[in-house]
Amino acid sequence: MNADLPANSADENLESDLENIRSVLGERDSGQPPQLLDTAVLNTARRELEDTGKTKRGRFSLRWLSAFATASVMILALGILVQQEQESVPVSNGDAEATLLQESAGKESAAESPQKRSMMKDHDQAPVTAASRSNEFKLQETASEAEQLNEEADETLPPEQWLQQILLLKSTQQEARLAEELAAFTAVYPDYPLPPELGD
Amino acid sequence: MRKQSDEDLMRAFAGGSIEAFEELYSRHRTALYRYVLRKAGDTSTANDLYQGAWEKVIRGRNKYRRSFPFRAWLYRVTYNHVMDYYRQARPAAETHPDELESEIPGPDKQTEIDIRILRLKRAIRRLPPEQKDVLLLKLESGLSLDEIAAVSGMKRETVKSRLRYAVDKLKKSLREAELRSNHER
Repeated sequence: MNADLPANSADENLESDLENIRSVLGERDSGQPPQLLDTAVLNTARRELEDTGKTKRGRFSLRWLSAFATASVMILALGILVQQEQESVPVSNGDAEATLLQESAGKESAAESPQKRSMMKDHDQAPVTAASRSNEFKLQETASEAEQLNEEADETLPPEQWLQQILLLKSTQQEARLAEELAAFTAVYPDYPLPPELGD
Repeated sequence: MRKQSDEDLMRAFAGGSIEAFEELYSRHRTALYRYVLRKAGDTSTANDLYQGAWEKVIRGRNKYRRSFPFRAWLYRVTYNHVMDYYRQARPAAETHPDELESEIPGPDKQTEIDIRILRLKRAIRRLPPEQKDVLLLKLESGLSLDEIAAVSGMKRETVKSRLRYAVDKLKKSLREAELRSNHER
């Protein structure tokens, strides 16, 4: 009957006695829990499972919400950082490019016009917020500005050089440009003596 | 379909299956109730203890380790619950043997079997607590010696010797009661 008891006579007697006792006790005693008790226990189990389910759902939503908030803040912070970096890098590059172009332009022109100086000054003092334009746009703008400065430098050549160019126009018989350049020259240098070839 | 083990059912219940618990409960309800009833002595206390024990099982479902036999765990929880009850609220007065004798009606009202049952119950109640625990776990719940050892925290050999002492005492007291009864007649 019970495998855990060794099979000697004493243990067999014990098993037999236990069986007798069990049979006597079981004759009148049903030993069943009342139905109400069964219902109460099963209801407790159901309630516990329901409560746990609610708690788990509640905890999950809270955890999800806090994780979402943390992720949002981090993404926002990263976005701001990246944007700031993008804004600061073109400014320095643009300035360097402009400086180089200005230097080359300065070499070509011996005398800077007041207009050019003023433009250079404006460019140097340009607020950092203006650098929020794109890098490409800034480079184009700087290049065109340099071209303009070069043209201006050409227009305001030293009188000897300018006169040589005018003489060159005369020798190539470009009468229209010759007249324009000569008028411009006399406007800039009204007291400068003109060579005899241009005198008449 | 293969019958699921108690351990699997308990795991499923911990995972949220009420059906698993219903199956588990139907398997153990009778034996556990008989054990508690015999231990408590009266139906009212037994009902409270029985319900309380199951509530502890339900609430402790996540603490249950599958490596431990479920039946031993169930009776350990119940055993501790009953012990706590008697430690905290020891019954106002333990039933006196003379009162028990008066429970037995006269021969004209009861059959021979009823008298034997009542005498046996009385003899069990009079056993020392440690012997009574072992006997009830064996008799009412059908636990093995190893399971009783796991439930009560005793060694297997201790369980076996206490069981033997308990049975010997029951036999002796029943024999004495029968002799007394025969003498009175």
